[in-house]
Amino acid sequence: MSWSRLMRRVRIVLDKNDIEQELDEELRAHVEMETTHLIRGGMPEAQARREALRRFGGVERTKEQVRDERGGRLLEDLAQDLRYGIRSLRRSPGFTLSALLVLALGIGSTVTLFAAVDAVLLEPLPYADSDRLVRMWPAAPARGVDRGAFSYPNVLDWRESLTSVDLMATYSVLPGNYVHLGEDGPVELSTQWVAGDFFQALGVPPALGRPLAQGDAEAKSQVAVISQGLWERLFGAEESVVGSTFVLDYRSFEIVGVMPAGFAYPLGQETEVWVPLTVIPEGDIPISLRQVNFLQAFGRLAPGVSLETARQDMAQVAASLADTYPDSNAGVTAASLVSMRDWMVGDVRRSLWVALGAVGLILLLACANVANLLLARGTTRSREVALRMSLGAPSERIVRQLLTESLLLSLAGGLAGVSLAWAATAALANRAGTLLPRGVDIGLDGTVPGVALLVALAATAMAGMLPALKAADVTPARDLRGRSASGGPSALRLRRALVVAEVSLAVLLLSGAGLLGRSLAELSRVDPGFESEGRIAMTVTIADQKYPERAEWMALYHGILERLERHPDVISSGAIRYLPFRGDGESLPVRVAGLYEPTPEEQRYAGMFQLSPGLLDALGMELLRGREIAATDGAGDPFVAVVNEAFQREFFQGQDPVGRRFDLAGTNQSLEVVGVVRDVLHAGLAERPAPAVYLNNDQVSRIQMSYVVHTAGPPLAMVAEMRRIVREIDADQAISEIVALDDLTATTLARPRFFTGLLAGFALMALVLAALGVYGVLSYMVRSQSRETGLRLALGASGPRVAARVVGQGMQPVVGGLILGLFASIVLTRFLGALLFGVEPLDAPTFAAVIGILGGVAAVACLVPAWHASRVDPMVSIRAE
Amino acid sequence: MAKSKADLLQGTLDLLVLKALTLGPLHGWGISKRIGQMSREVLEVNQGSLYPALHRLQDRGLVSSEWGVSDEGRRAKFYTLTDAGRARFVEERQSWSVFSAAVQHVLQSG
Repeated sequence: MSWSRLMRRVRIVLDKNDIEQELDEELRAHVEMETTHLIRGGMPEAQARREALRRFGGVERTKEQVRDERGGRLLEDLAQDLRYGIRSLRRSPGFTLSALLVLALGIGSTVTLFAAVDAVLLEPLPYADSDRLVRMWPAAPARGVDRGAFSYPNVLDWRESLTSVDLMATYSVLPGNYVHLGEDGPVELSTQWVAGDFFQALGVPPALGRPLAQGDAEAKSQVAVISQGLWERLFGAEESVVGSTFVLDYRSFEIVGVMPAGFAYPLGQETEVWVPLTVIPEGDIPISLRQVNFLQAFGRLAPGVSLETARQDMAQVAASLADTYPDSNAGVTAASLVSMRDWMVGDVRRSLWVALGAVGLILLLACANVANLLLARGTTRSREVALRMSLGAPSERIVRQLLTESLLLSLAGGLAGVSLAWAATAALANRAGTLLPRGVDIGLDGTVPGVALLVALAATAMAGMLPALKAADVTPARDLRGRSASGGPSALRLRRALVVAEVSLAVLLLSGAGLLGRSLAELSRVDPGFESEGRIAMTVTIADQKYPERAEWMALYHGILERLERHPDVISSGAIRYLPFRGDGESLPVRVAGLYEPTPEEQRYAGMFQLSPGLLDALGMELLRGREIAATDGAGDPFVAVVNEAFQREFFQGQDPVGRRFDLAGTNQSLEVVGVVRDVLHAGLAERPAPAVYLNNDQVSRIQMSYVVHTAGPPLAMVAEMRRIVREIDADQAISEIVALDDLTATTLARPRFFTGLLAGFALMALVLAALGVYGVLSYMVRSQSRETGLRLALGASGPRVAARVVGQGMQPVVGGLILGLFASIVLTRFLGALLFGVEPLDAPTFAAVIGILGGVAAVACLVPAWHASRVDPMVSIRAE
Repeated sequence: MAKSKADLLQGTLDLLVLKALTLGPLHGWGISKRIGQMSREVLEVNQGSLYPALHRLQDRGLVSSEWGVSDEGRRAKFYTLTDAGRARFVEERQSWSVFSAAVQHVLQSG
């Protein structure tokens, strides 16, 4: 259609009155001309006028035909439908508001969850050609090690030998962050130690300067790449920073590049400094040893290589290294790899899809609810529709008009829903930083608005189509008489079917939320093996560049411990390397003479933790047998260890280990077990406890320790005190972190708590929607049957009996929905699988509770209409119609 | 069937209206009279079809309209052939001749 033609049509719609007037005048002119013509021919005036009109035929019919021909008819009708729709929606604000609210909630939550799924799962990772990035690990199948760590020599051999991988990078998160002494005192900069093709594989070029390369690692150059944030904060965004030097950990580093804002690996980790991992002093970590496995790796697959081909390639390389270096690599004959995307977002994938599924059910429920409202409205309007039809409106015109109304409704609902989603995604992005990888990217962008529109339109179709068809299906003869205002038995059947659907959807959502709620409760009830109440911990990495001698930095460690212990508010204190939930220790192979002497292929490991005497009390760990580590177990004394129950099970076949000895590679010592403690769940609440060895930090020392304090007062009151103590010992000493242990536990529960809360919210919505549905249908039924009810009452039925009959009628579809929903739940809750903890997907108590709650709520929803029915006044109702 | 008959009539009427307007701007009544004269009063245009046809032609951009004053001094809406309308008329007349000659041929054959 040409532009001018379109404009003409729009004008026809807009200037409707003018144009109608013009048409009227044009036709009138015609009749008058004809009249004049006839009079000239000799006809008397009155007769001429009649004759002219007769010749013209039906004026109104002609007008109607002109309207059809001049175009814009559809637009005109649409405008009329819209005007009519708005008017009729405004006439019943109660209906309109409740339908809008339901739709807005349904559409809003669907769009929000989709935005989350889109940002977290669907958007490509912010690396070049990210589909070809993979994470890789060496694996030792015989010892059940699926994802092991690399040593530096091994990772270099992989990088050399793999044909399936173009670029391979390695990195370490050890041994703690670098300290920069700024004007405001010491600050810890979050540091990543990298080698290989770290920046090249990710394919993100620096904003300034050059990236690090393997050459830097080989030359052990003291060079660094910094983040844009650090560049702005520390160097005022000066471009001349490239080539300049700055001091990290009392050493001088040359800055060679600046990474652009938003660059992070892994996503969400805010690294400020990247340095070649070979700058780690050999004394800290003996990097050149093939036994020292502490590195992670990722790479970029060569074009056309599948994951499986790459896995075989890696296994081959691993096996050949195991042959060449049996001392260090025995048993490491396989490899694991997953795509980078799976590794980064795999944890939350199931949770997010489940939540999106749940919200989809909510949308269905909302649509069913609105359809029900529309049906109820449609039946009360059947008289109006019948009148319009008998006046000659074609039925498709009426369907269109009613559809326009529901379209209006759902577009308004969609608009409200999108506004809701806009606020909700902002809130989610705000909170999700710690909850979801890439959570901060959640927003209404990219494909989200399109999906929002689609959701709104689908909602219209689902909610509006059926009622519109139903409403147009009237028989004027019957409906005009007005006796049956019920819209006939088929409309009622439809509405009851909708109630069945609503109730079964609600059962499904409630069961899902119930199961997640129960597993959250189970998870919260898990005994982590330590006390968090009243405890606070400070992590300090002693600057060993400043204190190169072990005796010097151990003096610092003891100084902090003593001062904390002397503090009047402190009940008990101690120190441990790796707070609970912050790592499961340095993994070392164990041997017990005569009891556990495995081949290298079957070697199992224990996690090593350093602690100070008194830590067990400070952390509330429970000593089961023997004694704890004592100050008398000094550096020059025989090495002793406290082990956990898992260690006893694994390496002593459950026998009491106290007084017996074992070998721990890496310490090169034979250690005597002096005590056994209850398992601490270092790896997380949902994980099985792993074997753990606790040694005195005086015997096997580490520069980074977490100082735990059990205080009589509020834990947070200790923060300033802890800072003061460290400052008094050494004003240049940085503090990595101070954290209340309650927060530590809460953080591990944050994600399950968030998703469970989300699903619980949806379940509550479902409950309310289903109850509303039951209530709506039943109260409508009671109203339309009031004549019959009145008759029954007049004939002697008692009020309670009438009420019971109504409840019975109302509960019929509810029971159907409960049964259907139960079946659906039995089939579908298994998809929760891995999200559940301590509860089976087919948990009978949960299902029973769901049925009970829903049945109860539905019964209550039935009671109000039933009460109304029992109060019907026969004299009024029988005469009413 | 009824529809195709209407289409044929409609197409014919459009052609006649275009032809009537080639001689200059005219109002609706004038067009119906002119077609009557040109057909030697054989064809009588039904007003119920004429006005829809005029509005249809205007919607397609083949004629334009403006208000003017008739010979008798009465306000009337005058229709004028546009350039597109003139071109369409030539085209339609061509195909009409072909069509009518063909019909003639059929009717006179054996």
